[in-house]
Formats: sequence, structure tokens, C-alpha cells
Amino acid sequence: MRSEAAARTLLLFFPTLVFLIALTAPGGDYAFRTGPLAEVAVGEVPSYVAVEGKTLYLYSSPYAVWSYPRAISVSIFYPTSVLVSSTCGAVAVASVGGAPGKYYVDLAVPPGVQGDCFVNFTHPSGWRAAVLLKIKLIDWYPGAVERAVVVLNGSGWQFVQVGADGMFYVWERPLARLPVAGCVFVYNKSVLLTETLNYGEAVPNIVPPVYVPSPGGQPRFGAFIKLEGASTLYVYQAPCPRAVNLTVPPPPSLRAKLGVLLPGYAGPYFDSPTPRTHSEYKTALRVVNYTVSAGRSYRLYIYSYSTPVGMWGAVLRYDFGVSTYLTTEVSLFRPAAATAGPARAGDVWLYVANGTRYWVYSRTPPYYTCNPPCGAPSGWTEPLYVVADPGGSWGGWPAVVKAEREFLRPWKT
Amino acid sequence: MENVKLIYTGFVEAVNWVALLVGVASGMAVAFGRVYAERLTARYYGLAPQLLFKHRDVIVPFLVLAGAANIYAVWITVAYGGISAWRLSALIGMALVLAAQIIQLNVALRPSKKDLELALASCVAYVYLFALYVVALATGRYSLWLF
Repeated sequence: MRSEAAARTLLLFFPTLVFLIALTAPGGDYAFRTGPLAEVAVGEVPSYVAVEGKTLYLYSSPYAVWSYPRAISVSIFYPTSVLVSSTCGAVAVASVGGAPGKYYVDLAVPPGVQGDCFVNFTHPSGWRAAVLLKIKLIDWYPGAVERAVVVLNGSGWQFVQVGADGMFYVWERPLARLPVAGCVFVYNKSVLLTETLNYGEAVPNIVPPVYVPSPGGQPRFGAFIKLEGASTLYVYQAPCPRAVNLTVPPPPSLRAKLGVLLPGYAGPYFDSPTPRTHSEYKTALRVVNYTVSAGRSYRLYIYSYSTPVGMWGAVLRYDFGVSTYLTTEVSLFRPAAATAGPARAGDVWLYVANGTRYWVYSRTPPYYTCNPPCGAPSGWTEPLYVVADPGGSWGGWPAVVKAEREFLRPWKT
Repeated sequence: MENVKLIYTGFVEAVNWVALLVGVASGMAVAFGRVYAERLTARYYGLAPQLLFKHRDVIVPFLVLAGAANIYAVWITVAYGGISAWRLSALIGMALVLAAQIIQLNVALRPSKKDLELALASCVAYVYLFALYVVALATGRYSLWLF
């Protein structure tokens, strides 16, 4: 009779077990699935990555870690997490998940890696999935989609700059327009140290514009290269590499004869400039001294800069008022130690004083005398670009042989 | 009050009401069949059904409950891929549920002295599913279909 009573009770208990499963299963319906624990798929990849099933054709770079954010997506269907590992150190996280949903895994391919690499996803329940990375080493800065290939022909140290608009400057003088603007320069298989300095117009609406260092202006990215013959410089559109502290000498004092000879009551006098405002800008590579001076008949905008390569440079811009003065001597730039007037060397003017060679690029001669007297200059002069080379090895501004754009295309074997 | 509401919504979401109501309806149909069959048998012997079938007070609600449980177990097995994935554990479960339904129909339509034992035997399907569930929970597997 006792077992009969037990059987009667159990009869009403056993069928309720089925409902007990539905009510107490963790996460409700999750306990009843036979589908996969998670699904691994290719996430968001840049245009230069080829995808074939669960194989990614990636690039690695000799210069830095090439990161592919959100490259793999993992959809997890259970309240659990999945372990992630890689055979080439391309994954930084150890696990993804926790709650059901879609997760992304960032890939970071270490420099110089080449060949096949697996990203393995595992779970203690035995579930596993993998993504194959086929990695090709390429001479390209990581993360950039395009680059400018600039072939330069010249010799000696060159200070190159690329403006945000793509203008290419060498020792501050605009030489060409590049199809790609960026902060990463690769030259001779090295990533160059770069500086960033903002330039703005000192006086608006002047042609050509009066560019001077200005905190509110557009950035220019600069670097030093040492040219020997024709060489190729690559400019990548990528964030600046980490800055390194260099010891840069203080900005040079511009000892030069600047101004014009003007007639006066007590005979002719030389109209020298007097500094009005002065500011100094320190970048990673240079110290730039910006001065606005005024003479009696003109205003002068100068910035001069020191470099870590033993040379220095300056850019001068005169704004002569409208005058009818006659003059016999105009000295837009003449080094104080110079004894002879500038010699024409190609399209530049060259002074030699105390073993230092001063290269001046200017439309008009930087120094001239006239007899009989000629009219003093009026209005804005074209900018004068000065490079002082104490070593005497600089070969002048280089020639831009070629400046073209290259795209990084996906590879697949 | 918040907790009560949470439990209530959890309950509402965890249970598939269509499967449950269909199951209860079919279980009730089977239970009515049982009551009708008892009447016929009792009339044949000229006795009151209560005297002839001592366990009818348990068997009739059991048939309703088991009918609902069968339909619900089929829903659990089919809707979450146990059958489409051809998992052996799911196929065994389905076979047991089918067997349980046949036994219960037999119990309903041919009342006998062995009713209690037969009904208990049909519960193997539910115990099997629950055992799978407990093992799955204990081993941290996120699937009911262990093999």
C-alpha cells in the first residue's frame, strides 16, 4: 500500500519535470539549443584586405604593428565567453563574450611577421573555431591606404615638409603639390622623425600668401632627409609616429643687412628694421624664431629656424609701403659677413662669407645697387627663402622628379 | 512588488503558452476518453466506476498533465534543433515521448488493474529529459542534447 501511495504521488510529479526544465534553465531557452555555441565571421576590414571564407589576406609592415580593428566578429549565443588565442601574437584579448551578442576582435599584426597564422577560438565545452590569417610582409607603413611617391634629385640635408593641403616644401620653399598629405615619411627604409608646426597667414589676402608659424593655422609635417642623387621619399597618410626628444640648437641670430637706403634731410640713411613682436616655436626637430619688424618704409616678416643638422634657414617677406623714394641700395638679404654681392647659381643666389654658404631663393636679387638711383621697392615682395650651410656640402634645393600616388591593393595567392 | 513582477514576466517568457495550451487540451481530451472508457467498463460489469478503478482520482489528472508534458517535450525537442541536428539523445527523447503517449492512450482507452504501473512506466520520458538537463547543467554544457 505504501509503494502504491508513492506511485500515486510520483505520477503527478514526473510530468511536471518537463516544465521545470523550461522554467529553471539558465538564460531561458539557451539550454535547449543544439546550434553552435558561437559563430566566428569576418568583421570590418579595410579595402586592402582580401577575404576568402574564413581566411584573411593581411599585410605586415617592417615599421610598426599593423592593426586591423574589428577585423573578426564573434556572435555568441549563450551567456558564456570564448577564449581567443593566436599563433603569431596578433590578438591582444584573452577572451570575448560574457553575454549573448556580437563581439569584435581587433587584430594587431606584429612587425615583420610573414606566413600563415591562426586565430583560435575555443570553449571548455569543446566548441572551437579558427580564422586563418595569411600575412605578407610589405614595404608600407601600417594603416595607410595610399601613399605619395616623391622622387627627389639633389644632395645634402633637406628639410622637407608636407602641408595639410598636400603642398610639398623643401627648406620652407614650396616645390610641388603631392597627391597625398600625411605625417609619416619613409626614406631609405626608415620611418623619419617628424615635427608638426602650424602655419597661418600673417596678413590675409596677399598673393602669394604670407605664411608664418601661427598656432591657429594649418599643420605642416616636416622631416629631414639626406639626399645623394635621386632618391625616393614616401609620404603616408597616417598619424604621426611617436615624437622623440632631440637636442636642437637655439634659433640663429640673423646677422644680415636688411633694408633700403633712403634719402633724408641729413643725407641718405639706411632704413634698418626694428623688431616689433617676437615669438618662438619649438618643434620636435627645430626651434623657430618669428619676428615682425618695421622700418621707416616697410614691415618685415621673418622667421628663422635652427636644425639638428648644422644648417639653418629663414624666410623673409617685405611689405613696402607705396613710396616714391629713390634709392641706390636695396638689401633684402645680405649676410653681415658677406663681402661680395650675391652670385647667380641656377635659379638661386649664393653668398659665401666666412666659409658659410648662404643660398637665397628669390624672384628679385636679394641685394642690388643702382646708379643712377632707382625707385625704392613698393608693395609686397615675393618671399625670400634663405638656407645657410656652414659645411658647404649642401647642393641647393632638390628637383622634384616625380610625385605620384600609390594605392595599397589587396593581395591573394 | 518589483520582484513579483520580475518573476511573473520571467515565467511568462520562459513558457511557450501555445505549446502548453495545446498540450492541456489534448491531455483533457485523453482524460475524457478515460472517463468514458471507465463508464463503459463499469456498465459492462454492473459496478460503480469508483469501485472498479481505485486510482481514477490520480489517473485522470495525470492524463491531463502528461498530455501537456508530452506536447511540451516535443516542442522542446523540435523547436531547439534536437531533431534537425539528428542528435541521438534527442531522438531517444522523442521515441520515449512517443512511447509514453501510446502507453497513456492505452491507459485511457483500455482501463485495467495495471493502470498505475503503466502510467509510471510512461514517465520514463520525463525522467530521461530531466536527467539530461541536470547533467548538462552540472557539466556546464549549453545544450540539452549531450550525445
